Amino acid sequence: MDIKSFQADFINAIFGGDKEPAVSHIIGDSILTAEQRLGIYSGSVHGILTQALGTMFPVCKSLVGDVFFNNMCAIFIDKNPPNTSFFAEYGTHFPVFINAFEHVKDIHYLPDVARLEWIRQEIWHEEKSQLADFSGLATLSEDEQSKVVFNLSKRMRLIRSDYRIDELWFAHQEDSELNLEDIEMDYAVKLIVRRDENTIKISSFNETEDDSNFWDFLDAISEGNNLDNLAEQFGESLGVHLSQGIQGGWIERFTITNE
Amino acid sequence: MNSKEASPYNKNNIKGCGIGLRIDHFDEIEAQKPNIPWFEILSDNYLLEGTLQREFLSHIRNDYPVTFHGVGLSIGSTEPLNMDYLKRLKKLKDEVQPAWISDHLCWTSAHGVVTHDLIPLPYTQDIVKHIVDRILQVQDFLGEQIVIENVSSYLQFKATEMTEWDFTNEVTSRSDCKLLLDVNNIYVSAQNHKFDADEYLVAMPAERVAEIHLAGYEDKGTHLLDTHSRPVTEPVWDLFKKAIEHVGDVPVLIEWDNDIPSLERVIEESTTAHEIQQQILSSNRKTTYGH
Ligand SMILES: [Fe+2]
Repeated sequence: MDIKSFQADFINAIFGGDKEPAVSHIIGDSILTAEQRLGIYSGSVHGILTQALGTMFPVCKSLVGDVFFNNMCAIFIDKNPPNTSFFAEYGTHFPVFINAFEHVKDIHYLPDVARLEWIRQEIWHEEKSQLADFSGLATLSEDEQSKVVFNLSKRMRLIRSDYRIDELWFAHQEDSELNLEDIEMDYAVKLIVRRDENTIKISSFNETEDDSNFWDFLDAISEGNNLDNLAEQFGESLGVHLSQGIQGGWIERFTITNE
Repeated sequence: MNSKEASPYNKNNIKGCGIGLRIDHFDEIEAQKPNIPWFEILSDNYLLEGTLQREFLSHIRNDYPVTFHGVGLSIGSTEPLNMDYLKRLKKLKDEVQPAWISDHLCWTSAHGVVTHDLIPLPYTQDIVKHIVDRILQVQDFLGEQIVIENVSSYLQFKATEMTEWDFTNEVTSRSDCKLLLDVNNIYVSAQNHKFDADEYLVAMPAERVAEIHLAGYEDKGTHLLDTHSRPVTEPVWDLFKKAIEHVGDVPVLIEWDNDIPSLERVIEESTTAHEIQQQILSSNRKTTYGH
């Protein structure tokens, strides 16, 4: 028995591939056939991963129901066998998968809810970075200043949605007084999701209010725009946005690029 | 005295019946600091830095001795050892100073895919050699003996040449590693594969046993499934008594990973284990004195 090829066959079999090559090495008996014995492992691997996805995407799970969610996971798992030892990293592709999944096409907001839930997962696992000393910014030459690029806090993400996914998320929390029926879903939002030590805050900046411009400013930073470009885009509000961003801890550091 | 001996986290501090640390109980443990001799942490869940879990662990470690238990080593895999995993494990070990590090006698990943499940191996001389080489590499890298646990299994291989207990003996003696004797796993596999659990148990190298695991399985009709979701069953308590007779005063741990009950209930299970253990040990002492 070539153990290396057996392990490849076994992996292939438990993630929905041809079972026969692996089964041929297993002893079957009157209680359980070799294929059924292999099936126990396939079942437990899917069970472990489905449970992990359910923990990472609880709102999605509740929106589609347990049975549907588990079936959706089964398809996802076979298409995306984990390549990481860390559950916290498994699920990266789940929002994209949901987006392309035919059977949930009618739940238009589901892919965005999945994105929001994944973002929360990601920032739970981001290391805290040291705040840079921004006083150095003032000592730069004008030429250097124009080439400055800012970095946002690693424990923060921006997300835009055509749906009121923030309220939808809140409504699913245990202590929420928000009712699902009261949410006006077709309402575009710009969100900042930010971890502050042991809590994650979701703040919304809706399209019609003034402060939506601050969200756009942070978004422009996340796109890698340098200070010159930012000045062009935000004109007079640049100074206010910049000090708000730095003082609020949204902007953590700066670098001078040579572009 | 060197710093290792001075550390309150060395292996001499792991005594009595501990419990597996689960995220569900974090808040309660932090608030109440219950009287639990030690915690076993699922090390794989703490290998990413900057996480909330890692922060909780640093608190727990200040109040309790800790051991590490993982599934990511995949000691029986045919792919090269996962050095990224091992480096992270070593870093966490340096930070937390567990009394020891354990993992399972099986494989969990191969060909770039991580199953997160414990998959058995055929018991052959070739596999013994393969695993011994890998345990030696791991021990060399971590700078200490590791502890290897027997797993529950649901299938057997046509290629198998020896019993699981002979296999376990060969692997542990040739690699000079320690053994984590999971009594529930012996019972589950014995039922699933119709072998004698007592015969398995007494064949285990008593002097290598660093720790005993207890947990609850689920009866699926055609087989027992090692779910860690139930109280320890009567036949497993019986086998546990025989295990104490065989290995003596060894630290015991309750694992409860699914349908996790209150912390109080898990502690109750570990108290039961402790009482049984003390009863066997004291009656053994009486027998010894009597002769
Ligand atoms: Fe165990």
